[in-house]
Amino acid sequence: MSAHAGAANEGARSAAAPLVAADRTDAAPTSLIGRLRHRLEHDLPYDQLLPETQPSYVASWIYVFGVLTLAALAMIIASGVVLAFEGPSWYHTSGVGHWFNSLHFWSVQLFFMFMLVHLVGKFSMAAWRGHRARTWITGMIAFLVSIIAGLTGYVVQTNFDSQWISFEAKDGLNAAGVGAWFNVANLGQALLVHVFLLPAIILVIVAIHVVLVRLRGVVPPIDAARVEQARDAEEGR
Amino acid sequence: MHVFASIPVDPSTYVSWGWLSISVPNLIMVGITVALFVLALVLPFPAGRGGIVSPTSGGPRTDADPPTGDHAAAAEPPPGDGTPAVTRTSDEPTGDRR
Repeated sequence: MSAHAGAANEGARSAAAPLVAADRTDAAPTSLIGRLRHRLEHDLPYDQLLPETQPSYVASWIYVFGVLTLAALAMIIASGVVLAFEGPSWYHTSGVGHWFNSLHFWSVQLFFMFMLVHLVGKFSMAAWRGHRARTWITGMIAFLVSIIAGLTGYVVQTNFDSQWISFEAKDGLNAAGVGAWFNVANLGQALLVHVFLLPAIILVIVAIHVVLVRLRGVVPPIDAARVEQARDAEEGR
Repeated sequence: MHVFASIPVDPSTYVSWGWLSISVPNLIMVGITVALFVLALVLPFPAGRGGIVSPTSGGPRTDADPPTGDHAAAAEPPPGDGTPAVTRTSDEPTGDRR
């Protein structure tokens, strides 16, 4: 391309740019795709989704347990994939199988420990403050679904432990009135729920939870709430 | 399958206190969780991590800046008028507040 042609193209782009920008910012989108793009541009700016800095009060161990929970979840999924491919006749009888089985089990223990500390820490600082209700609710849903995932994990161990747990849980679920749909004594159902349905739900909820944390920011300590309230009032929110 | 029959069935040891009955392994896990929570509140966070915004300068955190975190709040008593020490949060990187 010659220098002259390049300059002409540059000029054409410059002339067209304001029109494009005006279309994208001022005009209300009319199509579904346009509304979706407008919503994403408005709600999910990159500088908030991937921040390079955090406020100084995040420099506390109590703020670490959210990401520790995510790390444990990653280990659960990775070790669970291995267990799913190899099966119980491998992870009950071979040394490597025992190791991966234990890795999965202890990842779950750490997952719940970290998540519980995260939960209690956030509850203690009333983390639903500052328009963070959706963040709190998605975290609680993730916690409750994880409990069901843990239960189904215990009943698909295919050992005497799982047999005892499933028959104890069966009575409880029947008493709760959900036994007709959720039968933990049905190994096939419990296995599919454990390895596909519940992990999919957890991953989606956790993704929403993390995005909401990015949008709203981590909750400040209670003794710092006045700063956030004053800033919101100043900005007319 | 005889290999599964060889898996030990260990009923574990239970601790009972009134209506509460809990196995020792579960009790240990609960104890570790409580210990983690307490340690997270009292242990100092390592200084010098990148990406921490200073509440005083607005720039990257330096060694000259005051300590941060919950322990810092404890180390910095609130002003005499009862106003909490809130300068730590002046630069929270949040955006859209709906």
